[in-house]
Amino acid sequence: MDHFLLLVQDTWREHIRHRIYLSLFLFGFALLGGGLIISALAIEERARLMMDFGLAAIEFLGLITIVFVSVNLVLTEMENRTLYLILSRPLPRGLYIAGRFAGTLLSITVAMAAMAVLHGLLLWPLPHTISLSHYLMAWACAVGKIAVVGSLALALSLFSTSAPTAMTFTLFLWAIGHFSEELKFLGQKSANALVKTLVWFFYHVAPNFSYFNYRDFLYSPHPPSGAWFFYLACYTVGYTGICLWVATFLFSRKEF
Amino acid sequence: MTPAIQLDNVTKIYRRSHLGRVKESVGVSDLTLEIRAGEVFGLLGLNGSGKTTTLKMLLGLLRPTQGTATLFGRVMPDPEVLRKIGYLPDAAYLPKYLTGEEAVWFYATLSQIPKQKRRAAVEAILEKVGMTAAAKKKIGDYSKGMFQRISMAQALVHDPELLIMDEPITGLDPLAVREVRQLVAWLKQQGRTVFFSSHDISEVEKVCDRIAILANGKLVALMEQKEWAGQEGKLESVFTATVKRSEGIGALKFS
Repeated sequence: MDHFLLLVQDTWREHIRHRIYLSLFLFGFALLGGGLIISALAIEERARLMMDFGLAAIEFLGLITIVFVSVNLVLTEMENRTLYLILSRPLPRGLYIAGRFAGTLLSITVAMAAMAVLHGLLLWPLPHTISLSHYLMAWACAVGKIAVVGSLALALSLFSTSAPTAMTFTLFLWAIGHFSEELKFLGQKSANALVKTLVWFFYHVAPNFSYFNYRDFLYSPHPPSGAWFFYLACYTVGYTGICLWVATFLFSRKEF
Repeated sequence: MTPAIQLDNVTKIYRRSHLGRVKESVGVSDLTLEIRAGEVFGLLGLNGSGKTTTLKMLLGLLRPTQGTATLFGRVMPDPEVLRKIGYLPDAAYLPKYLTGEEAVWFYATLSQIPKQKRRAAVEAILEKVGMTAAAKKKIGDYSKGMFQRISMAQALVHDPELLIMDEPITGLDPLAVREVRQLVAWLKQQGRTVFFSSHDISEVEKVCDRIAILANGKLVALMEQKEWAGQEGKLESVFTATVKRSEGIGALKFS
């Protein structure tokens, strides 16, 4: 536990002291501010537009950051050789992966929370379109999505050992993950065996992000039930856990 | 008495594949060595002779293709043994976003120093390497000499029984070289085992009890201090007679 917390703390320090990380979130704050200008164009729907734009901006910034950071998380340490001094200590490799990932997720979640606070302040003077609990659920779903994408990026980075390739694959699977149901439909309609196989593969491997789209229900009179949230939590933990297990497996086979 | 290090017929073959074609190169070939506890042992060789490969196999960073690397009687990598080893790499591979003190604390925790003893251990080692005053500065702002001192501190903070050093004096100024020599002498006095690689024959001559010479991954000579002590140039002549450049480079013809 001591090692795990140490790695979480160290990763947190690394991120918050990194200029790129800070500038990305300054950009996020600017984006949220920009939402005010855009929402001014639609006076009647101003509050709703600000709400949707803000939540999308928080998720987008979180996504960009986690893909970039997770892909480089281990690769940079391999390149700088700082990993030598860590792995020559009595530290199980799985714990290293778990600690680094948890630290990354923590730092991005905190940054997303800071952006949500700013978003809330911008929304405060406007008519309230949704309740705070609805807002928090939408935000938590965005964090869940970030956890899944981050673990996927980490596993792919250890598979390909090239940052651009891993980023490309992650973004490809992220895009596919938003069209899971359409993909399934395509597979059912296609007569071509190769297309069917490929569709089947990607449908099962890529994360299904339609589960995380709580924003679609924000204004619905019938929001998702508690069972839906429970299923979503299990899906997030399960998918992230599998990706971290794959990452650990790949990492434990590596030589330095 | 159990030897500190034992290498039994260790071979390391690197396999690199590119576009489906697998290329093999030998890092170390059939290496057998035994290093006694409390000994200062130097591994000599040219670049690419297999010195770093050997060190990495001892640290568990590389796995031998054949044979076994055993430290304190246990096959590596073994977490119990890793607690007893300090590693000083050829360059200071330290995280630049941490301060010197944070970095030493980080490695002290990874080395499983109990929490109640950790603060004292970190402060003592920073004092020993003369970095107490600069401990709160970020490593990214350190000079090369300061880097080296913090690197020493991380290797020694957990009071290791065995110190493995990879080219510890490469690129250091004469004053820093003397300090490394001082460190080795102190460790020997404390009864610790020191295993290091180098291609600086004059330094190896001064500090080692025994040496091994590697050429193209193979052990070509094993000598004890009495064989070169008091005979200026002896080790150098043995070295130049036994090693050959491996990358197809011929001798210079200026003479």
